Amino acid sequence: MAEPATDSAASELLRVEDLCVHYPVTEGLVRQREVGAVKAVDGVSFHLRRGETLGLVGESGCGKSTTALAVLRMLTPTSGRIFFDGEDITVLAGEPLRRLRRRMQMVYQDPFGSLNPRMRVRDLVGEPLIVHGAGRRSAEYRNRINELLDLVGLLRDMGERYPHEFSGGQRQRIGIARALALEPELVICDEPVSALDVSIQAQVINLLMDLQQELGLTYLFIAHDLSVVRHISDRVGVMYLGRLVETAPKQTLFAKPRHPYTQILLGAVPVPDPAVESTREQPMILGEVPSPRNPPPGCAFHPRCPKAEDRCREQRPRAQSMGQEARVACHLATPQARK
Amino acid sequence: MSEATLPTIGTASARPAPKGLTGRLIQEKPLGAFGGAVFLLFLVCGLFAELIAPYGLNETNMAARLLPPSAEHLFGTDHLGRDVLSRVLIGAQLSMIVGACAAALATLVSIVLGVASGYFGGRTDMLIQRFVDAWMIFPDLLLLIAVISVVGPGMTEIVVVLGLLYGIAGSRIVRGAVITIRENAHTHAARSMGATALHILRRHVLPNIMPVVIVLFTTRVGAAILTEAGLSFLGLGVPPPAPTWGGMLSGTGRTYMYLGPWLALAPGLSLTLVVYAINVYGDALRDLLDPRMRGASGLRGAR
Repeated sequence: MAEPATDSAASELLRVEDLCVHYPVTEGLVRQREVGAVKAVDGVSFHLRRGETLGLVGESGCGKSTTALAVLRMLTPTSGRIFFDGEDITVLAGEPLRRLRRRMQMVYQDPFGSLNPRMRVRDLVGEPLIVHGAGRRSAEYRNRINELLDLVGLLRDMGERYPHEFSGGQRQRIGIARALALEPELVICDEPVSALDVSIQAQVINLLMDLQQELGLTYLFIAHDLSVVRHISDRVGVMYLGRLVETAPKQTLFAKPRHPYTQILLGAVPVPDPAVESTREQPMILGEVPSPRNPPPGCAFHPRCPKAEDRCREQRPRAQSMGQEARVACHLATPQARK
Repeated sequence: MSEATLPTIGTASARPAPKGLTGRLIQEKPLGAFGGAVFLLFLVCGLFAELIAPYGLNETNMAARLLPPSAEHLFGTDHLGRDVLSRVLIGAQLSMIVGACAAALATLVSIVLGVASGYFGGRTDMLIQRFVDAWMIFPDLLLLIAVISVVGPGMTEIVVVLGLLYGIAGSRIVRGAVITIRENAHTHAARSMGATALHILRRHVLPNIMPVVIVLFTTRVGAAILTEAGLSFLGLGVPPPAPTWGGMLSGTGRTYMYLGPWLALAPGLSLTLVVYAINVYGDALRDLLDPRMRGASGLRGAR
């Protein structure tokens, strides 16, 4: 499991430091005043090595998609820094940003909305190539599209059809082919299988894993389904209310969750054995997610945490290293609590 | 490369040989095809009115006044003994030109304003929309009457005024459609791959607002023809002796309604028929041009 420690810095593809995305809340019709901010992402830090998959999990509204959009630079972060292949891309704009877009692509959640219904599959898959200056009539362009269709397991003559003629799984393959067209280094998958049937989910996940092996891709994989994340990820990050509460290698996280939120999240996954399921003790989560406009002071999770202490209510926990690349933002987690 | 490891899903079903749009129109949307044919008929009649018309435009025959429809005069004659069919045919020319030109201008104005407003948003949107609001305060007919009384009646004047009037109001509809498309995931995807605004407008926004634009255009053709007739009825349309449908309805049609109902029926029915035809044709066209409706037509929507 252990990576060779020597080249860990050299092979780092993405580093996010203290990323914040705050949306101002304004009041007033004529003169707008800022009266607060929705802290969609609030101080998230992580890194991603080449060829690795980092899974980001968390419930709806926890900021995982916003994090992805910030990394993709579809929005400009309020603060914090994003490094891609050693280059600071936090405030990149114009032509350099357009060049960067070639190197990171996204696979979308909605296989229906993310494909233009008026374009043929061939044009959909080739669109990134056209956008970056390929000639529509060149043999090179046509060959590349055939290659991409082969790669994702679609027949070449399907290229002449329109997306509405395909099933959800096939459409997602089209979306993946499109994301791979420019040979990106980083692929951001925003819940790529949550809109699919369970039987199709496995096919698409396996396709993504095969492609990663073959093309040496790096994935930032967002999901709310823990079993999917467990299958595909090397490391997993758990987000809660705009903050990354725990990051750890997959085995560590699932075997020994350290943050109370992670523990509850894992406990919520049903066990596929009725006898065990009916008797096992399920940690209950209390209350509802607070508003990100007015997050609780201290640890954002304290109002719902069964183990909360006084310091949790006052002091915001910093992410502390637990060894083995594991980082936990909880006052109660201690490295020695591991064993 | 990886064919061996990846199962290929789905099979290419045998697709029927692609048919032309006209073939599909006739087969899948008979009513729309009928509408198109009627519209085409009026268009041809209008274009070649001088050749088709059995009698001259102002050829009077005092011996044959107010004759009911007969083999000699299919639509009868009016109070001056002029052939009504000939006048309706030449009136078609005027109505068609006014209708098509005004609707084309209106659609163009709607697209330019609507896309600028909807796609770029922000301050541009604010400025354009407040202007549209101000414009829409005035009732159409009042504005038309006011402008026509100032610039004087004439075909070009009517086309320009109608085009602007419908165009500015219609830009709201285009704007709404553009905003929907702009927020779509596929537009987002195009932006994330580094597409320029021009590419997104050309490949994503414009093709996807086509259904709206087609309906906008066809309804405006009908509306412009009707409004032109209305203006002529009020005496503000294309000035006589040019025969316009509206003018025929208001002048001789109204005066001799009891003596010669065909005088009003001929232009009135022509008006109704052409407006109906263009509307069903537009609806059919919108459905056929949508690739999602391919093969599904007949199941959804009017035929």
